[in-house]
Order: sequence, then structure tokens, then C-alpha cells
Amino acid sequence: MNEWTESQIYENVKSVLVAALEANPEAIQPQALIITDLGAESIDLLDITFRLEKIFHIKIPEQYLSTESGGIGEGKNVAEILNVQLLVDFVKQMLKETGIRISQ
Amino acid sequence: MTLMLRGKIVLVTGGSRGIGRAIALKYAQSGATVLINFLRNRQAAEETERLIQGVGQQCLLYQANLAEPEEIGRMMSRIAEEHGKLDVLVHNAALGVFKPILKIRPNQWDLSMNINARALFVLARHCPELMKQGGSVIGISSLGSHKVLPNYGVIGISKAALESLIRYLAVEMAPLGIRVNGISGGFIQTESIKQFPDYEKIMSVVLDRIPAKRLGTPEDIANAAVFLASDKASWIYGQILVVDGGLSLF
Repeated sequence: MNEWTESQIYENVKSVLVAALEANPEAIQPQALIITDLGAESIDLLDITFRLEKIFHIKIPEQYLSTESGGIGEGKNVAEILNVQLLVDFVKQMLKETGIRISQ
Repeated sequence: MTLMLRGKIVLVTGGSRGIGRAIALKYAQSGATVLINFLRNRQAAEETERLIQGVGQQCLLYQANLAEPEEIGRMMSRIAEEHGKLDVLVHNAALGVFKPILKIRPNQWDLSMNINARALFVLARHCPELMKQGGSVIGISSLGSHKVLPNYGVIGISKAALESLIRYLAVEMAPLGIRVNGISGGFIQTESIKQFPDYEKIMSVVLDRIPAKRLGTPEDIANAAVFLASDKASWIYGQILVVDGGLSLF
């Protein structure tokens, strides 16, 4: 796809989280913490990475979605900051970097 | 053992760290050109590459997610283009989570099964084309394939599938001059094993029960991998070589 809408991105990220984490779709809210609230474990973050890469045709930098140091929120506790909105924003950023247009 | 694999082209999946790195390095020390498959940790893969180059052998890195057959296909095509053949394939890559089976989610099951077991099936489909001159395929398993270890279920089950696959492949690939075998490792000192719940407690109990009176090292597995890949093992087909310091005897 050469263009994604904001809602398409959000819905696809939501679908990934529901599928990977067996989460109730209603629990996927922008501020929901993916590790703390939705119960993602290390292996799930890898699974989510693979699913996002496949759907959006992006390459997520190694260890970005990881509980190990060097990933998102370097120096901070990933479990306390990684929420759904942050993940959606990250996907948008990756899409923009690959030249994909994002519309409202 | 020094140059038992002189001139051979070997591929080690999950070769960037731990047991995979030890196998890759031991193969290099035995004279092989080593191809390393890794999932995401390029830094670790490059460190293995440096170690291999340090013993005077060539090393090439192949990033591929073995849960995806298409990625395996691309990797094997690249190997065919760049090297024209493959002599030895070691499927060492493994992924899992330490939890009781009833707490495993389907996605975690799928990822473990796909990387630990199905990947060997997919890799093996490419071997007849790459191993026209014959070869050796080795799968790295563990005692958890047939012993019940707490919180090891999803990995143990995938290793059981892997071992069964090894036996079937051994029979079906023998006419092609390709030997297929496995190595079942006991408790090996790696970073991964430290993720085991109650690691210290379990290790002290296990240590008491190991006749060899020590935990295994990645090099213990690597030595067995060199043997199985070499002509010294030319009449060994479809076997799982247990390398566990004697733990499974009890």
C-alpha cells in the first residue's frame, strides 16, 4: 500500500494485539500498557514485531520492541511506558520513513 | 578433530549466541566455511563472525526469521547463489517461553513450534538441491523432548516433534546421501537457561544428579556436532546423540 489512513493503522495494530495476546478488543485502548495491562511477554513482543512487519511492510529495528535494554524508552522501564498509542505512533513513523503517505 | 570439516560449507541456524555460536566456532576450527543464520541480534552475530575470522575461516551472516518459510527460501536461494552447495546444516535456532503448558497462549505455541521444529522441515526441503554431493543435517534437541521439566512444556513438545522429524527425514534423505541426526543436550550453561524460573535452585538439584558432576558447556554440544557432521559418523542415521553428562541415565 502506498497510503494508510490513521484509522487503518490503529485498527491493524489493534488486530495484531488482539491476535497475539488473546486480548479482549475492548481492552485495546490508546493508553493501555502492552506489557503491564495486556500481559505481553518477551516472546509476544517478538511475535508482535513480526506481525507488524508483515502487515505494514516495515522493518522494525532490532530490539525496539523488547524488554531488553536498547529498545523503546531506553533507560526507562519498558513495561511502564509501552502503550498502544506509542506503538501506533511508532508504526506511523516507520511508514513515513519508508515514504508511505498517511492520511486522516 | 582439528580439520575434520576442511573445505565444507556449513550453515548454523541461531548461530549468533550460546550453543549455536560454539558450534559455529568449532566448525570453523575444524576447517569449515561457516554461514550463520540469526534472527535479530546483529551485534551478537557480528561478534561470532569476528571470532570465526579470528581462527582464519570465512564467515557470512544471513538474517532470516525461520518462522517464515518465505524467508527460509530466500536465505537458501542466497546460499545457493553465493556458494553453490551446502555440506552441513545445523538447526539450532530455538525460541520459547518458560511457563506451564496451560498458561501458554496459541501465538507462543505457534512461534515455538514454527522455529524449533517446522523450520527444520522447511530447511530440509531445500537440502536435496543444495546437497547434491551428499551432506549432513543435525537438529539440536534437549532432554525436555521426552522428560517432563517444570515450565518447559512448549519447548519440550517442539523438541519432541523435532526428534521425530529427524527420524523420518533420516530415512527419506538417506537415498540422497544426506544423513540426518540430532543431539539431545542436557543442562547446558548458557544465558538462555538462566531465564528458567528458580534457575539457581533447579541447577543445584540437577548438578547432584549428573554423574559427570558438572553442567554442560556449549562446547560439549559443539564437539558432538563436529563428530556427527564428519565422515567419522558416516554410518549413523536418524539417531539422537545424548550429551548430558549422564543425567538421563536416572
